[in-house]
Amino acid sequence: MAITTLDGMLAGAQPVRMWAKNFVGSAISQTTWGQTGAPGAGTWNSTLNGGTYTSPVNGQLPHTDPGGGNNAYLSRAFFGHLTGGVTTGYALLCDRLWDNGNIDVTSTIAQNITSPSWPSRDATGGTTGVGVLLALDVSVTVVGAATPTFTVSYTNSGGTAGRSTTNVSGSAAAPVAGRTFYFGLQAGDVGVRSVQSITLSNAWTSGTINLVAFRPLTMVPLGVNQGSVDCITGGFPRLYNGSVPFWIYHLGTAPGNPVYGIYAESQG
Amino acid sequence: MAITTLNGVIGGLQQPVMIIKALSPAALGGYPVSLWGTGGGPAAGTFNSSAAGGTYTSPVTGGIYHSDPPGGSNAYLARFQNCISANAGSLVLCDRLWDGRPAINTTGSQTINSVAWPARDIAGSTNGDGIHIGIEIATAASATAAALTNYTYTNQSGTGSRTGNFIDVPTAAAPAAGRFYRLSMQAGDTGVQSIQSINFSTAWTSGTINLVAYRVLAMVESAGISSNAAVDAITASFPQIFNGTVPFIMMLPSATTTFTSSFHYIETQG
Repeated sequence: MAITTLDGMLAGAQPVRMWAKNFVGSAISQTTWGQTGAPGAGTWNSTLNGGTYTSPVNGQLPHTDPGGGNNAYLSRAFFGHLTGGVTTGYALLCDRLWDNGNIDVTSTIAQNITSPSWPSRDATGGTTGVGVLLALDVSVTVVGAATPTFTVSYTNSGGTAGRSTTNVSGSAAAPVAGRTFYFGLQAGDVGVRSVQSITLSNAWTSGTINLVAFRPLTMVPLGVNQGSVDCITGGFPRLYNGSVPFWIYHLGTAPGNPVYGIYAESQG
Repeated sequence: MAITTLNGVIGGLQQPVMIIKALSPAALGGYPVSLWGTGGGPAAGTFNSSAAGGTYTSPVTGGIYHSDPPGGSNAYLARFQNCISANAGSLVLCDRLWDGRPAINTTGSQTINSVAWPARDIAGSTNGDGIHIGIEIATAASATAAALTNYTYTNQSGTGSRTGNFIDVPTAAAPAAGRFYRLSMQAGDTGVQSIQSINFSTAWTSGTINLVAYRVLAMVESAGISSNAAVDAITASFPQIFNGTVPFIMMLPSATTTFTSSFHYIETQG
C-alpha cells in the first residue's frame, strides 16, 4: 500500500509529537542524539564494528511501524531554537542506521572497521546504501589542539570497495560533545554500503568520537530561529519500518536555550 | 466516524474562534510563556491549588472554546493562525489535561500523586503517551535560580520511578507569572502517565507554581513583529481534538518584551 493522495495523507495522519532537547554550546553542526530532554538521550555503540539501530531506541523521535503492510511518511516537522536574537541555519531530519565506537583518537594509523549490513532502510528500502551518508559524532568532549582530517575507507552502494572520503565539515580543536562532522562521497558514488576503516591525520589527547551512517529524510530551513515543513514542502519522505529519526542541525549562532519542535507522520 | 478526505474537512468546518491576549509583564526571551493565566479573550484561567491537583475537561475558563462533536463524530484542527504585535517566536497550541500545586519554597521530596489524566493522550487514552510536564509560574516568584534534584513519574507504559529535570533552566532573575519551564523525560520514555513527587534542591522563596500535564497539538512559527503564520488541516498534519479538550497557547518568544497576541482557531468535525 502507499499514500498517493492528500485524502490519503489526512486519513492516515498520526498524532503530533513534541520534542525538546538541551543544547550544546556550539553553532556549527551538532546532533540531538546524545542530548537530554524529551525524549531522553541516546547512546552510541562501543565497538569499532558498531551496531545498527531499529526503532524503538533511546534518543530517537518516536516512530511506530504501521501495521498491515501500510507505509509511513513524514507529514510535519518543526525545528526551533531561541537565542535572544535572530539567527538562521538549517535542521536535517535523518534516519540513524548505524554507529560505532572505540575509535582511538590518539592514533594516526588506519583503524579497521567491519560494519554490519545496514538495516533495509536506504533510499530504496534496501541494504545497498543508496542515499546513505556518513558523519562523525563527538560523544565525549575532545581534549587536544589538533584539527585532524578524518579519512574513511568504504564500499559504495554499487558494491565497489576501496572508496575513500574525508570530512567535509572542517575539523576543529577540542570539539565539544554533540558536535557532528559530515563526510562527502568519492566522485560517482551515491551512498555508502559499509565502512572499512578510519584514519586521523593528527592525534588528539582524549575524547570519544563515533562514525554514524544515516539517511537524510528532509531539511528544514530556519529563517528566524525556526522553520517547518509539511507533507508537501517536506517532500513526503518515506519512513521505512524500524526508522530511527533524529536531528542534525547547523545554526547561525549558538543556541542559548533548548532546541525544540514537533514531528508527525502519516501512515497508510 | 472519522474525517478522511479534504471534502470531509470542508464539510465539517466549524465557526472560527478569535483569541486575543495582552501579555504583561514582558515575557523573557528564550523562555516559554503560557497564556493560560493571561486575561483577554478567553478570560484568564485559574489553577488547582492542591498537590494532587485536578484535571481539565472543556468547557473551562481560560480554555479556547471547544465543543465536542455530536453523534460519535471526531474533531480535528483545521486552522491555527497567529499574529504577535512585538515579538518573534514559536506558538504552541496545547491541550491542558491537569495541573497541581507543590510548595514553591520547599526543598526535599514533596508528594504529588497526581489524579488520573483524562483520556486525551495521543491515542485518546489515559496511558499518557505524548503527555509532557512543565512547571508554570502562577504568581510571580522570587529572584532565585531554582534547581531540581528531579521529579518522579510513571511513564506511558506504567513503569514507575522514572525521573526528569528542567529542560528550560531557571535563572536568578525573578520569573513573572506565565513563565513555563519544560521538564525532561528519562531515556526511552514517550510520555507521562502520572507524577509521584517533585524535589527541589534549590527552591524559590515566594510565589506560586503549578505542575502542568499537557499535549502539544500544533506548532507555528511567528517570524517577526506583527508577522502572521498559520497551519491548516494539511500543513498541521490534521491533529485530532479529543472530546473534552482544553486548548491553550504557549509562546516561545525570541526577545524580552510585552506583546499583544491574536489568534484564529478553527476545528472541523465529522
